[in-house]
Amino acid sequence: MSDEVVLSVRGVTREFVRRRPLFGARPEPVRALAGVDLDVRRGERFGIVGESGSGKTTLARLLMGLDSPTAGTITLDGVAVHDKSQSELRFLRQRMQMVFQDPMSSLDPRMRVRDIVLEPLIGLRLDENREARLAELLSSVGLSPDAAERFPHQFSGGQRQRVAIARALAPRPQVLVADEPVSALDVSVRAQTLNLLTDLTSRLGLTLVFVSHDLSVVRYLCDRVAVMRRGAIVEQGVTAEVYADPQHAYTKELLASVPVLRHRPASLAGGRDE
Amino acid sequence: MRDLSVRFGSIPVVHDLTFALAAGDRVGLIGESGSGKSVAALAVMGLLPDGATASGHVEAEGTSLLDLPEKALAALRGERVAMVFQEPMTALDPVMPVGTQVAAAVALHQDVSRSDARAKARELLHQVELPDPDRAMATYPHQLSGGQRQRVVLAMALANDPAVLICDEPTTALDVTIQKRMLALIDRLVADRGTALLFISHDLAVVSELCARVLVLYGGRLVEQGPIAQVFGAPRHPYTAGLLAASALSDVAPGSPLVTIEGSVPGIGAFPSGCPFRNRCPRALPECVEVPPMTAEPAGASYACFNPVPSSAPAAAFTRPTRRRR
Repeated sequence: MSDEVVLSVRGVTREFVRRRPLFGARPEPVRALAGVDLDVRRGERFGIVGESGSGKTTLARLLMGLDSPTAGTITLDGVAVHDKSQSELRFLRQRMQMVFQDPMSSLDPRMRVRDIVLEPLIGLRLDENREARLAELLSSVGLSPDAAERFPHQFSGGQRQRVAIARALAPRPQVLVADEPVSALDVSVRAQTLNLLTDLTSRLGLTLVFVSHDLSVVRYLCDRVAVMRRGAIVEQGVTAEVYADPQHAYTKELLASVPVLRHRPASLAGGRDE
Repeated sequence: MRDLSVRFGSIPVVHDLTFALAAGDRVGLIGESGSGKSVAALAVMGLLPDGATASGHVEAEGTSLLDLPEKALAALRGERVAMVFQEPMTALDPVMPVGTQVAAAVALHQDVSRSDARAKARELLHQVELPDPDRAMATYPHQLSGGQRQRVVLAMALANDPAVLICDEPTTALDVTIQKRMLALIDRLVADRGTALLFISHDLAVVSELCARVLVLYGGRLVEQGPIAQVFGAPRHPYTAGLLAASALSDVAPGSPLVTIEGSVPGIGAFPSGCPFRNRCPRALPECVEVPPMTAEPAGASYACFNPVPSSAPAAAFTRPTRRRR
């Protein structure tokens, strides 16, 4: 991890205008994000935690240029991305890719894995030996080469998430934004996917922005963390410090609410304090 | 419940599940997707979907449930055995005020006047800690938050002081702070009433906070059961040990490899014969093609495994891999 800032968010606000009801005045706009500031440094794993409605997914969508802020700026490597049209965002797509929560809905059921994984290369018109890249990508996410000819429904949830990760990595991005990528997975499969994400980010020198409601996963995975509530960041800092000594009342409540495994094998309990 | 088996057509989903709940018991039923945990609960409630058949023996307070005609079963359902589902919106009628729905649950099984039923409903909404129960009576489900809706469903489930409350992932769709309050509420209400609780969850930590005993299901079979301290503290079945190790995010240094269970949970009907875990098990032996019998442990625990994890070194069965290809 270096001190170089890859992704910078300044004063970002996003309001959604509600539909005017049949009778009565236009309602106040909903403020999904209210003045968010954050910096993501190159090579770090940055966690964004919050409960439903905290604005974490809205923020992830803004980072990816899938939506535009009402106010504020977002820059990637010093280049503003918040005011660009989709056609101007090619450079963004090449440097930053996203993995979504539900791989069943983020993968086209009628496309073979080969076409899914290579689609970003074709869409971005990147010149590369596609067969070689496909083989390399499948192997790096732990899928066998014959997976290329199969369809998403022929895979388990964990394997589908591997396909989604392979697709995201195809254009060799520097930043990976993952929105709840392990929430839909069984516990035994979640551990594999977390290992894969840790392994890939360190091996490829990726910067990871990890959006999650799960505080345990964020503690395990992320170097730094921002805690969101009602569209604002209430606390951010080094994960270990925030978890050990939360400053904001909401962070304290959130951490106190995490269920704790009351009994565990001695071999596991040995490593860390309760 | 003795030897409960459920099949969807010709595909067996639950095999020979046996357990008993006494008044005031709190039993957690844990398993991953496809383990058959929800299906087992639906079978108890007589709510299996068309095409599913249950065999074996399910008894509640001396009445055998499986061979009961629908009408007699409907009289018991909600009265003696009640259930709370994961998604409260599907359990509530969207076009009826919640007070009317709770009152209907009361009136269905109790011979009370309409106003008494409403008074009881109001009292129930108060017990589940809905703010301003008088106002809550008149609200519609869509006006409530997810946590509040789940409280209404809990009020309906408890309307007739059932002997058994089955909760199927009641807090999975809720935020963690709301979950904590909901669990505290369930905890208090079943304790007050001496209700037996069957709590279905994939979350080991939640079960360990709420329950005294645990049943671990995999591939439709009970693989291990017993007091939580025993089963989680010294798991004997490799699946239980693996599940505990894979969940233990706070027990490893951040970023260091997690213990994993090889492969993924097979689809329904795709589990191997014999021990359903043998194709993912690091301790599998040739004899695992046969279904292992339950072996008794101290303190009423038991496990179904021919090659159990030594009781002294549970997680040693699983190594921490650097990287895996499949």
